[in-house]
Amino acid sequence: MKIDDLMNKVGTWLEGKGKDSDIVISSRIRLARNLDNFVFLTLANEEQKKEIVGFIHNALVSAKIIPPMHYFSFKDLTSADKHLLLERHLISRDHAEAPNGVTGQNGSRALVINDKETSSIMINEEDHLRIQGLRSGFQLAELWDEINELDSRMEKHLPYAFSSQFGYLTACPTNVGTGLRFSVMVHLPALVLSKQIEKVFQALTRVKYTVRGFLGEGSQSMGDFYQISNLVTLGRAEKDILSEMENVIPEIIKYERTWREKLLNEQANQTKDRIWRAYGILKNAYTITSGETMELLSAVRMGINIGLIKDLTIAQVNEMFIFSQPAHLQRIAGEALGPEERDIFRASYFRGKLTKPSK
Amino acid sequence: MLCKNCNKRPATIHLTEISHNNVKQEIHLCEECAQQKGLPYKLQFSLSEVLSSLIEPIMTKMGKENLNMKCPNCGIDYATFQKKARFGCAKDYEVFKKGISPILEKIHGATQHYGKFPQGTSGSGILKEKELLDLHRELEKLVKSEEFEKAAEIRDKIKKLKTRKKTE
Repeated sequence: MKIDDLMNKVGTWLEGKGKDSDIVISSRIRLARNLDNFVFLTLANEEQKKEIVGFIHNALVSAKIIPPMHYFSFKDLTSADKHLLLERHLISRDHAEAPNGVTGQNGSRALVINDKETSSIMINEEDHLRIQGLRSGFQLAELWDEINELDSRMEKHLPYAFSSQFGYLTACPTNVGTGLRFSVMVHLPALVLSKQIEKVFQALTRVKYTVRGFLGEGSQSMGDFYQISNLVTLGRAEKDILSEMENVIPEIIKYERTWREKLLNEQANQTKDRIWRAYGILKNAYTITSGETMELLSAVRMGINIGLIKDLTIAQVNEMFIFSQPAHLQRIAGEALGPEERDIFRASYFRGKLTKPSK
Repeated sequence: MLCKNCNKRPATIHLTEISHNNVKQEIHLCEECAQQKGLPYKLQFSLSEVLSSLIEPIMTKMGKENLNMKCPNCGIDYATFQKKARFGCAKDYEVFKKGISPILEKIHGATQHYGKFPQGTSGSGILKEKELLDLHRELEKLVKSEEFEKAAEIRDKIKKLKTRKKTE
C-alpha cells in the first residue's frame, strides 16, 4: 500500500453508516501504551527512538500484525504525505508536524494502518504506542472489542510498562490507568443555532468529559462539529467508561434532534433558507476558504438529514469534507497550491462534484 | 453571543470588570476586538500549564527533601517532572509515588487502576492482584446493595487468596 492509494478511496469510517450516523460522524478509540525497557519519549534521543521503532516493528511482525497491516516509516514520507494522513484522522497533528530528526531524515517515528483505515498504530508519538480505532457512526462497543483484541495480541509480544496500582504507565499523568480515550465526533448544528451548545459543554465538563474541534486536541471547532471524549482514565474499568459514554452520547443526540424539530417548526423559513443558500454557494462559488467550507457543508449535511436535500447522500458530504482539505486538494491538483489558489481550486472541486452534467 | 464591540463576530472572551465603586460589568468580546483593545487574555491554557498549576502546591507540601528525588533509572528529578508534566520512564511512577498520588486524585478522582491487566509478559503475580481487585470491587457493590450473605462469601474468598499469596 502507498500513501497515494488513500486518494482512490474513502476510509470506511466515512461511509455514513452505523447507528445514529446522521449526528455521530465517527467513533474513535485510542489506547496509550509504553514499553517497560525504554525511556519515555520525553527523554529519548534520536538513537533511542530509532531503537524503539525497530523493536516495535519486529514485535508487530512476530505477532503477524504487519502484514496484514501496513507499515510506514516517517523517513519515507513527505510533509504533504503526513498532512494527508492527518486530514484522514490517521495520525495526530503532533505526529504530522514533528520536526525531522537530527540527521534530517526522520526515521524515529512510524505509522501502521489497515486497508480499511479503521485501525492505526502511531509509533513514537507522545507515548511509544498509540493504538487507534475509527468507525463510522456510533459504534463504540464494537470498536472497543476490535481494538482490545489488537492490544491483547500486541501485549503478548511487547513488554508494556504496567503497574498493578497505576495500570498502563503513560508519559502524561492524564492518560495513566487504562490509557483509554473514547471519542465521538458529533454534528450539532441545531444546538449551535439555538445557542444551547454552551449548556451541553457545561454539563459535559461537570461529568469530566472534554469537547474539542474537528481535528482533535488543540483544534478549534468548525462547522458545528465537535469531538467529545472521556477525561478520566484511572480508577475505572474500560467497560465502565464505555457504558457511561453509551449513556451520555444518546442524550446529546436526543437533544440535537429535539432542537432540529423545534427549529423546523418555529423558524422553518430561516432554516430552509440557510440550508439552500449554503447548497447554492457550494454549487456556484468561484472561491471558497476552508473555514467557509465547514460552515457550508455543515448546513448541507443538516439539509440531507432533515429530508430537505434529496440528491446528495451523507457519505458524499463526508467525502467532500475530507477531500476539500488542503493536503487532499493539492493531491487532486497534482501540485502545491498557495492559499488563494487553493480556495479557487476548492470551489471548482465542489462545482465539479455538485453540478449535474447538462443533458 | 455576538461581540459587544463589533457586533459581527461571536464573543469568545468573557471578562468581568469591577469598577472602583464595586459595580460589576460583564464584557463579551471576540478575539480580534480584545486584541485591538490590548486586553490581556488567553484562549486556551496548555495542558502542561494546567498540570503544572496542579503539581506546584503539592510540591510545596512534599517538603524539600522529596523535591530532590531523582529517578535512578532515567535521571529525571521531581522539579523537571513538575515543569514538563511528563514522566521520563516507567520507574518514575514508583519513585515519585508520594508526589503523584494527589495529582492523580485531582485529575482522575482515583489512584488505583481497575481496568485491563496485561496477560502476556508480566507473569502471574499481576493476575492475582487483578483477581483481588475484582473481588474487592464486587464486595463493595454487594455491601452497597445490602446483599450481605453474598458479601460474606466474597470476603472469605479474599481472605483465602491473601493467605495463599503470603505462603507462596
